[in-house]
Amino acid sequence: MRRIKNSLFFLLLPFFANAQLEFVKIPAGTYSLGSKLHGLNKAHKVRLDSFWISTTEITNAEFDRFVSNSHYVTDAEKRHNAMVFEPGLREFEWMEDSTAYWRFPNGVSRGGIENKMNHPVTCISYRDAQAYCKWAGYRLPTLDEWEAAARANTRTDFFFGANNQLIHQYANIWKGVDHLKADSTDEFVYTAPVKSFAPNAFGLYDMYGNVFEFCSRKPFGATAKPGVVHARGGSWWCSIHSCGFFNSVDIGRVASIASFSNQGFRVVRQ
Amino acid sequence: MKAIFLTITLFTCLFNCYSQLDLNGKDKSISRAYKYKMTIVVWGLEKISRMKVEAAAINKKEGVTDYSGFLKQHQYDSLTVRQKFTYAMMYPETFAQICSISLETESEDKIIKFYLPRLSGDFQLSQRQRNFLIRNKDSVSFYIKELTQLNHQMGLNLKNAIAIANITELIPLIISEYRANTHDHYLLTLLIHLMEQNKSPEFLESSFFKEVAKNGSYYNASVAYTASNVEYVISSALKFYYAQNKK
Repeated sequence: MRRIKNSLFFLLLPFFANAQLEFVKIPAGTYSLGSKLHGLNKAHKVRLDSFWISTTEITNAEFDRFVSNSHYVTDAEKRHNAMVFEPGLREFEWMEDSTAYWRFPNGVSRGGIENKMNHPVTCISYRDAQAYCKWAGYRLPTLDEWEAAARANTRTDFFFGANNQLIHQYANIWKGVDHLKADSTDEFVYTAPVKSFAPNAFGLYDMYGNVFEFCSRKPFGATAKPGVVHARGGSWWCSIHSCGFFNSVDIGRVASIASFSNQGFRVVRQ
Repeated sequence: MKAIFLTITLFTCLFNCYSQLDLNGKDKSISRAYKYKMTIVVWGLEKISRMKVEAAAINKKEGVTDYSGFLKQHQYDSLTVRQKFTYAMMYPETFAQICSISLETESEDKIIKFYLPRLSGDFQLSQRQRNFLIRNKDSVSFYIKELTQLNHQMGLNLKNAIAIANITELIPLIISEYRANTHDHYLLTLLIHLMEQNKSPEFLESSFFKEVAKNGSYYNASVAYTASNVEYVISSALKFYYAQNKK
């Protein structure tokens, strides 16, 4: 009897663990994606089955439940190779910090997540994101699914139109002209709590900014490169002056075992 | 066996260079062709390649199979200074930020950029590689001079090393290299970088710099590639160099 109870507990655990996750249904259809002039994300049409995508990025609280229940050890904890940021670095410079992992995404000296449980989890690798998905019974969105969800039936680079000055209503991004000084224009130097900014027309929050979101598969027409994965939507680090990937078109890339403090993910269920 | 190692290494390097070029828009300018060009450094390359194969095997045992792996500390420590330089120039070993792919549209023959481009899209120099360049500045300077004079070009990896180690002593070499090959506008970018990095008062106060910095950020900034702008950059760099030497 006890064995049956235990089995049931572990069988149902993922459902309890993700009870707080909300999803939006993206309808089946043919979607026009990419951009005619883009070097990596060329204009293409794709037929997608309907899928459900989480309205928010996976939070520290969610990831904590995963780790607590599965005793999973992330790549950054195993390899001590996380890349972190602190104001003062030149553009696109990141630092290695052997103490950093998801509980201390920018290293122990820069504080932990105790008061940030509703922020997106960061400092995790693509492999870690996949491990969460496997445990929870979800999967990562494909690059095309992510874009269809982000666009919310728009064809402009941004789901709110072409004016990038409106980005601050929808996304937690870096507002400084460079990264030499902390961005003190709002309270979020790094991540912001999920749902702090306005959603897109599908009701999806933080599709741009906050954290880069891992996606599966390779860009349309591109050749897969072993060990390289992709992520979309820009992050808290990105600014109008450098990076600028907080849009529906650009596709970032990184090594599959790299853990940056601006990388996170959201999930999909069919 | 030696030939196989060398071929693999050269192929990897060329692949990295070309994969960058493929990603970057439609600009077919000559200056762009120099943008990601790397200088091949071969000192100890065979030994390093062999070590990388060993490191990859260790990584595989640890469950990491989807990237080649970089030298373990004991392997790295066994390299000579010259070999460490080769390793830094040929194999940046730390992950690069994922949004660092720039997609310029303006022809780079007509401009001088204010920021050096990133190295390979997926990797950058690690802290130990950066520290090596800084701590061995004199040797690094010597190697760069030797390679540049031998190849009659200064690849992005060498320019990047000069910027990291802050080798202002090479300003005359950079200028003579530019005069020998005026298509490589990124040599001028490197001069600008050195003056800005060292906070050259004359340069930072100049109307030239203020014009570029007026929008606050100069990461994507550039100035027109004109005779007067080129002359200004070179003469300012020389003044800065001589002022440094007087100290």
